Amino acid sequence: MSTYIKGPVCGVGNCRSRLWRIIDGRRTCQYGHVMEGDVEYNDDEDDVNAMGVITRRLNLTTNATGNFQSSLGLSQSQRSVLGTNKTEKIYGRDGKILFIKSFQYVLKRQTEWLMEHESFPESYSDLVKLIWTMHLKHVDNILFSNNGTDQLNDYESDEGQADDIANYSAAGQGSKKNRVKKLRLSMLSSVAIHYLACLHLGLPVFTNDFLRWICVDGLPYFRSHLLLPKEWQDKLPNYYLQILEAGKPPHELQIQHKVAQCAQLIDFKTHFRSAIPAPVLLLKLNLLERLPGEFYSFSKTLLRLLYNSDSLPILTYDDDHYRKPYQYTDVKICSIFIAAVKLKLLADQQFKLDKFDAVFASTWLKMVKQIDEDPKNKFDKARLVLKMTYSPASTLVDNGLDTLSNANTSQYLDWIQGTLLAAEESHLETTQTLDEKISNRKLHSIIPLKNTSNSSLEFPAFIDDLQAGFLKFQPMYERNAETQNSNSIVDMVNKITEDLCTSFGLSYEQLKSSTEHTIQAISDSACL
Amino acid sequence: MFQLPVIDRSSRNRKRRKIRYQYINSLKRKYDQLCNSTGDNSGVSTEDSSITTGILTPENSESSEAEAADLEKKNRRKRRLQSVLGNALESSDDEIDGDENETEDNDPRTQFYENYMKPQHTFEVWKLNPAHRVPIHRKRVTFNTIKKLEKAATKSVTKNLNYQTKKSNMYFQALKCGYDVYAKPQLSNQKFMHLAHLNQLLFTNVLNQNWDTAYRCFSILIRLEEVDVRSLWSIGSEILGTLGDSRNNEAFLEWLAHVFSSRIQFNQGTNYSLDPVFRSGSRTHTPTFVLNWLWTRLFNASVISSSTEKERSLQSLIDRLDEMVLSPPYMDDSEVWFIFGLTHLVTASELSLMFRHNKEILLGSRADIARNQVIQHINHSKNCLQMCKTNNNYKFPENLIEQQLIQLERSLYIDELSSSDNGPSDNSDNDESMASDSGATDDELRDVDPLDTQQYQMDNLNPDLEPSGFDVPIPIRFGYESD
Repeated sequence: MSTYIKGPVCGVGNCRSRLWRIIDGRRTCQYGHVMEGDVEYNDDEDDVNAMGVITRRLNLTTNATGNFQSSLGLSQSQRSVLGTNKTEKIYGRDGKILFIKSFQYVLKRQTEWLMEHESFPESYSDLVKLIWTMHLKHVDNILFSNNGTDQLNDYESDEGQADDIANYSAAGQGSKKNRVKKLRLSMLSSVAIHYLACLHLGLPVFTNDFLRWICVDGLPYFRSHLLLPKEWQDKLPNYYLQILEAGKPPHELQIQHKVAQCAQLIDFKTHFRSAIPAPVLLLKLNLLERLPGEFYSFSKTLLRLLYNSDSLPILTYDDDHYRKPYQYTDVKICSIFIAAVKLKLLADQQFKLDKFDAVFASTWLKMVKQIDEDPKNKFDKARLVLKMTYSPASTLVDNGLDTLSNANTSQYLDWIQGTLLAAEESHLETTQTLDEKISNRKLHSIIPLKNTSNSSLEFPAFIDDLQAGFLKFQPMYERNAETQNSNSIVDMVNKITEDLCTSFGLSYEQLKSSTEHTIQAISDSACL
Repeated sequence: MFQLPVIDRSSRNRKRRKIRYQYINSLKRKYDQLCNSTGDNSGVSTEDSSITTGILTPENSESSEAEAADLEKKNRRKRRLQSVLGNALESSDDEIDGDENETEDNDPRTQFYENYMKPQHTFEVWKLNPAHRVPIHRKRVTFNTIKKLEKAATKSVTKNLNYQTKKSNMYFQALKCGYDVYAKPQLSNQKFMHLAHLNQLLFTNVLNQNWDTAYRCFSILIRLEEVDVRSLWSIGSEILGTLGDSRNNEAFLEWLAHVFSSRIQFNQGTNYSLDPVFRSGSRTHTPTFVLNWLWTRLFNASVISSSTEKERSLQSLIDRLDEMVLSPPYMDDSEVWFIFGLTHLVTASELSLMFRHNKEILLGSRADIARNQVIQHINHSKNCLQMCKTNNNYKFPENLIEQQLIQLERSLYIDELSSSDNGPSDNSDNDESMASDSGATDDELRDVDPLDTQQYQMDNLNPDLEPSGFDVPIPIRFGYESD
């Protein structure tokens, strides 16, 4: 702007200026006179093209198939593909409906899995359907209620005015109680639905079984969004995908909490059988912990002493507040079991009854340690994987003592190869591009997976393994008789507590406090 | 404990990294400004690079008091000058960061790496061998100066820190005091729990030398979606190399060099939050796995027993290198040229060995052809080494290699020059020692000596040559920084 170009004398009004500049495309002299008949056209760009040297660089790279591709062209073509094929995410009510559909789909797959792998009865799927429809009733309220904003939108709808008002008042009450209308569905709800169904059918399945199935055996739970049809995956909003992805394994009573909420939501107690057969769970715990049968009867007696009945009703509540751990029924039963073991051991030790004393405890600990180092049956292996799922990697090193034995390592790797990697590969098959697939296949052929030899072997049946364990136990017990370890009772109780808290998905402190509460209750009732 | 080999997309880490680099940058700038301007004698500037890459050594407090008085005096003078000039009189610190505002828009990380061509240049160099000791650098930083440096650097960062979360503030405070922040172990995503376990098993098994288990971990890890092979390649190639199959290792490195070729453009800022130079190449930086691949090929080729096979693989390596040095990141990389030169050298020695074996058979023009081949390789080798020398920073045992080349050349005409020379009769089987150090790339000398000139070996070997900072061909196992 401020640069002048020398040119002819202006001459307008005897102007002596020879300097010109261009303002708005017109040549203007130093003193502001406009040169007549001289208009500059905006042909700058052409000039630049004609004058400047244009360099174009082709960035040629080869893709995995060996053809040339230009990286620039690739990005452009990708963009255009994205532009045309871009699927819209669905939000709002439609999104919710799609989410519920997806959830239902996952639920169906879970039911199929349970019936196939765990040979659940035929009627099971009907029951799950029934509970799911009851759950949907709650969802109905959210999807089809007309509260304030919806009403505005629905003015044009053909619904009668009176109907609207009736709906409004009905929904208004609900919304007051539950201001943010949540679907209250998470992947844990699916577990809760299955659990409640099992409870009604009287199947000997408890929360620890479900936890094992989802964490170890591959019941569809983690990253279940990958099971959905591709179209749905694309359409679902990310926050729903996140719910279906399930993230962290359930911990700190999350399962029990969700079960209680879910039971309240569908009013489970009025419609179904809602009591946990406590002796069944006690027997199961007894077997899993490899204790002699006497402990089963001790704990059963303790149960009767405390609650006067064999079946305990489940806890239900509506709000989001966690209750004390001992209020949840299965935690309660666990702590009864632990309390029974602890009291029996302490009593025998104190009165020198010479049956289940410290020697027994230390022998038991030895046996369990052996089993932990080289687990044989399904349940012990599952315990290893569960432990790995719940303990962060760095803590294992920091503690130092928990480094895996060789057998454990190879079993763990077997598990990963069999379960986690299988799921991963089927997922990658659908998502990778051709180039990635080819290059990865090359890499994988350079570095093939190694199968360990014993992965093909069948696990020994649980009962056989258990019996073998007991057979081994007896000589160990006799050999061990002279070694005395005063801490062994406490160690044994702690070990059982640890085991149970990982297999039920709660923290050590929670189970411990619950056990303490139970012992307190026993001493109270004894005082009375 | 061990960093996960995954691409980390969290913005928190990115912010942390940004703060850190910003701090380092401003510290360095301040240091340059303070120390290099005060002691601005003429010869310092060339040495500067070595000073600044080292750590700053604090001096004892005694001398710092004198320095403090000196500094105070200087400050006073500066302030008076400013007041004369009419500037607003402010605290002495405020005037310091005048020059920093203009560069603030840039990414501090790229700024940081502009000073270093290669990641290993950012490392501290620890000289453990007493023979390599150099006198301590006399130029010290006083306590006062350090305080000042820190103050200025902190100041430049605080503007940014005000917008950060409490957590990253804490992180920065810890970092500044020299602590490493250790993430609390906690329950995370199911898959990541297992991934972390796998990763840990990988490292612990390598540590305990359970190579088979480590191999299993590695083979599973690379099949997981989240895992980025580029952050695992070094340990993987070590495992493959140790398991015995050198061909597999070569194939793996070759795969890396092909798939992650440095010509592919990707947006490094958004998706790959780990420092790109540490893991892959760019247009200016040769990725380390490529260098590693070339070294591995050279070593593997030189230990092959059958001579035709050996010649073939050496030739293919030469062809490959010939192609590579035409394109950008490799054509400026001295190390690639060095490898190229060495390959020619090895080939020349190989051919000359063959020539001397078959001397009786080869007659007339055939002998000339064979001789010419060797000379050709020797010349190529010389040219390549010449290319190496264009880069000043690259050091290699130049004399030794040249000596070697001269010996090679001389040995071709040895019977014509003097038949009485204690000759090349007994050097038929001296390639075994070369086989022994195939894995160790640390000492090129051993690779070079046993070729066929052992009669001159010790004469010209300048003992100082070896430690003269010949530090480049070490396979650099920088994985990724630990956060």
